Amino acid sequence: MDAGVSKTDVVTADAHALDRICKAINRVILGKSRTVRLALSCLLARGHLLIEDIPGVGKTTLAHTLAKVLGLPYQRIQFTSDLLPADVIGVSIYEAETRAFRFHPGPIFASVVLADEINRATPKAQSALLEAMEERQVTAEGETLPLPQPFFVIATQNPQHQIGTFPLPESQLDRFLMRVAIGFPDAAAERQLLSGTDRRDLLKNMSSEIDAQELVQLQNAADRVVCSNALLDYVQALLNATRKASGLAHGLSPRSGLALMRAARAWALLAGRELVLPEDVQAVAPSVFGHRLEAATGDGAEGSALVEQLMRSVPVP
Amino acid sequence: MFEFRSYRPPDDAPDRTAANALLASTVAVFTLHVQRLPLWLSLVVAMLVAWRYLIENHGWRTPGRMVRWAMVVAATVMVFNQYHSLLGRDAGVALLAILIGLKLTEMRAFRDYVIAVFLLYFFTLSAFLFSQSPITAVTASIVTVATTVTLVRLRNISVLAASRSLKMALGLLLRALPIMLIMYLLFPRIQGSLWALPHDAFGARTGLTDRVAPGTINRLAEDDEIAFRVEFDGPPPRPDQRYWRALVLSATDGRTWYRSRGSMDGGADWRFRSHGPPLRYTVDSEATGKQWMVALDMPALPPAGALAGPGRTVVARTPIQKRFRYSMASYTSYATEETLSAAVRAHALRTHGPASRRLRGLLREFRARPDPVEAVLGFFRDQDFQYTLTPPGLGDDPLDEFLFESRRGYCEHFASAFASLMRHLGVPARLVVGYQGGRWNPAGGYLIVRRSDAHAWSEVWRPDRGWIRVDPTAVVAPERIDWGIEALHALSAQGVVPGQLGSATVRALLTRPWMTRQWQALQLRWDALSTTWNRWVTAYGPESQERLMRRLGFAAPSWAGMAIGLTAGVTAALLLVSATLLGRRRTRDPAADAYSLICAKLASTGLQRRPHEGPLAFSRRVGIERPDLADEFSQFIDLYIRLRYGPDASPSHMSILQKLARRFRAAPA
Repeated sequence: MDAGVSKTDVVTADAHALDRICKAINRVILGKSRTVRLALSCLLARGHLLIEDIPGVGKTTLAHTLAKVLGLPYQRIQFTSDLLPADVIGVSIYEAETRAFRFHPGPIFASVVLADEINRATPKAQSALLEAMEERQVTAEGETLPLPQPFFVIATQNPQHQIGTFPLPESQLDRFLMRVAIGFPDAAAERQLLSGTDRRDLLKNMSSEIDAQELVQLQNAADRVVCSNALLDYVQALLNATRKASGLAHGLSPRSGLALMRAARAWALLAGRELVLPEDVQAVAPSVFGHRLEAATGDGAEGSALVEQLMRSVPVP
Repeated sequence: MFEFRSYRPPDDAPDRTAANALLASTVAVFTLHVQRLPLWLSLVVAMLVAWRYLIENHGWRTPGRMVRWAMVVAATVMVFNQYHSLLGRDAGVALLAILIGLKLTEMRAFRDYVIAVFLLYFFTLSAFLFSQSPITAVTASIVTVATTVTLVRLRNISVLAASRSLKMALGLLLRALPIMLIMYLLFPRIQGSLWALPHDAFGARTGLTDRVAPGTINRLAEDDEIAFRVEFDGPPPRPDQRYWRALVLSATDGRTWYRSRGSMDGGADWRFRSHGPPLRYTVDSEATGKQWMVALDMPALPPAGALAGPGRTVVARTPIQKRFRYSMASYTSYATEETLSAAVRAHALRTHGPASRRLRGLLREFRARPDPVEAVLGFFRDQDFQYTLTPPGLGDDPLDEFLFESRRGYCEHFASAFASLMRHLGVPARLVVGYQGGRWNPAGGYLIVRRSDAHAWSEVWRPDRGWIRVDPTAVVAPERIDWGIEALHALSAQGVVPGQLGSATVRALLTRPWMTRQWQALQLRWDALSTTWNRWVTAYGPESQERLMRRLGFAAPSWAGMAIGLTAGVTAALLLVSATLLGRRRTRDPAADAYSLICAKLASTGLQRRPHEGPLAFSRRVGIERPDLADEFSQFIDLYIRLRYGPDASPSHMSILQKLARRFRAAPA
């Protein structure tokens, strides 16, 4: 059939690399291939990732695995209520020999930063991290220091209603490209989990599948995925629907639309396609829009449920 | 929560909020009619609305077929009983009202609700059969918006917030506005029976009559209805010149004055011997149901389209059944150039019955004086005659009784007594009926004349000046002429006898409290507004339409021409509206058309693409549900995706895609 979708060699090579990465992660995170693909496309789209779920479903493990597989140096920050901004950014210490202050970089100066339980810290500590996410640089002691490239923050948090949490304000939630949940594993995966080796051991023995340079190459490939006018029509219709819907506190910003496009491109690349389909948009939209939408009534309707409703109400052109 | 554009199966009943919105707009529409409908009917409809409310909200059951038929028959009988007919405007609207109520109780399916909405639109429209005032227009517009909101909510969008429904309804109505304007301007307005209102639309109208007996005109003294309004080209005439003649009566049977047959009331000679500068003005007359038209004393010529009546009056060609506007000119100081034929002279001297003894004595006194007119006016002024709004009744010889006993009268008593005395004294005299005075409306710059301003005065023949006006009322009660009938009402309420106070005292007595003055100013402002409305909106009739057509360059437009113009105008408006709607869409992609075609073919076999289903997801579902079509369809979809969502724009691929879509054959599963 001459009309089939022909793939360029680059795409094929990228697809192979992505396939390897997915498989490696799926060996550690069992039965969650969709979540894994979402998390991966978030990083391919150069976005920060927020993983939200109850304790014990593997949030931290997923974050660890991602960092490991991508072969990036990573640091972990456990957010607690007494965490200070200096614990994140770093601190200047007086050195007697040189008779001067010397800056000791904090854990933020790593390519992948795992911010565990981000909503347990006070807003002050949170904002230290979140500013770094936006600017991709840190200002300490009046000096601006660039962060490494690539730079990802993978944050985990417990659901808002749990005790002892400081919910992230909307403006800071907006800095995360995606918010994903993990959920309980299905029966087969859980059985395998219970019977198999400890995940931490698996993690320790894990090797990276790609290096930083390859990752940048994949990110560039994601940028090249084609978005046609028909698809842009669809995305605009979605954005418009949120602005006209009465059930929402507010409509989505153009930045949300850009985020959706980036994520959909990465998702299409993961699927081995050089063009974005409405299905790609639908696949990533709950994760991209979920934390950006709010029900007008404030009755606690889940953001991703709102997105599902949105998807059903907007026809594909 | 979101706007669902999917199609609602028409058998569904709409949800409760939409149904309640329908009931609310029913109530709103009835406010337009409630003052005209009989009380029992309003109560019945209120009951039916309440019943529907209980059906919608408290699970009551809809009535069965037998009950419904019984209610229809009962309603019809009751309406017939009230109006003795089922036809005509009043009975028709009453029947429509009650049938809308009954429709409410039997609604089941979606289409019933829509029918009810359209009945409400029609019912709103029927309010204009009764009144075309700005209040009716504004109320009807509001009610129409409410009904349209209901329609929007019924259309499966009741999940929308109320403000969104309102916006959508306003948007719909706004798009209909150009068509409304075109219809208003171009719909053929033909004078004649086709567009005429049912006969009962012209209810009994009171007003001036062509037979005047003592008591005829003072019956009108309490009638506050507006008779006509006048705009003057220059400053308005002085109050004592505001005599509006309508009818000239010269036949009498001693009690009643009426029009004479033939031309005995005066010929159609409109020449003047001399006159002052003319006063030009435009009269905006309310419907009278009569042919006579008012004209300021003395009209120069009948206006275009009207006829010259007897005694320099003006008559319309047909009875005035709707508001009527005409311009003319009059001379407030004049001497007519008329000859009095012997027959008319004899007619204008005819008295009825023999004079009584004391009357003969009085007449002798008058004859001894040089000028009989001055003599009689002096008699009225010097004796204890009194102008009153509540004159006593008169017996068999009204003239004698009035002159010597009661001496209390209204304008017609004085005018007819004066005319009779003149005739006894050999001076030709006649009675003129019309209006005197009027109230100046500073807000609109026009004079308002009400039915209560109705007045009767006399005219006598002077060989050197022709027929001249003599108003004995002005002698007895100068306040009536200088201040108007309203002032007279106010004075008599304070126990003041007219004709006995100086004008400064009268002015002091007539000064109203501040609140009353403000209220009156407000009323005048409102009257000015509704006059403007009448002039620019309601008065648009066949003549003004013809003028407009001429201005647009269509000389002597015919029925057919106007119908063509209307059709072209409406088509243009529709094109304009749809062009703006379609303009928002991009030009259709041929790939999208091919996709629609193939989806339609699949839908005909029962495999419908869901609106939110993407092409790949749909292709997968087709593969599962119709494995026999899977290969062909996925081949199409692969190419479609490339053409629609990818960078591929090759025309040859596009034609392959179109061919695939055309050749696709899906046998029913």
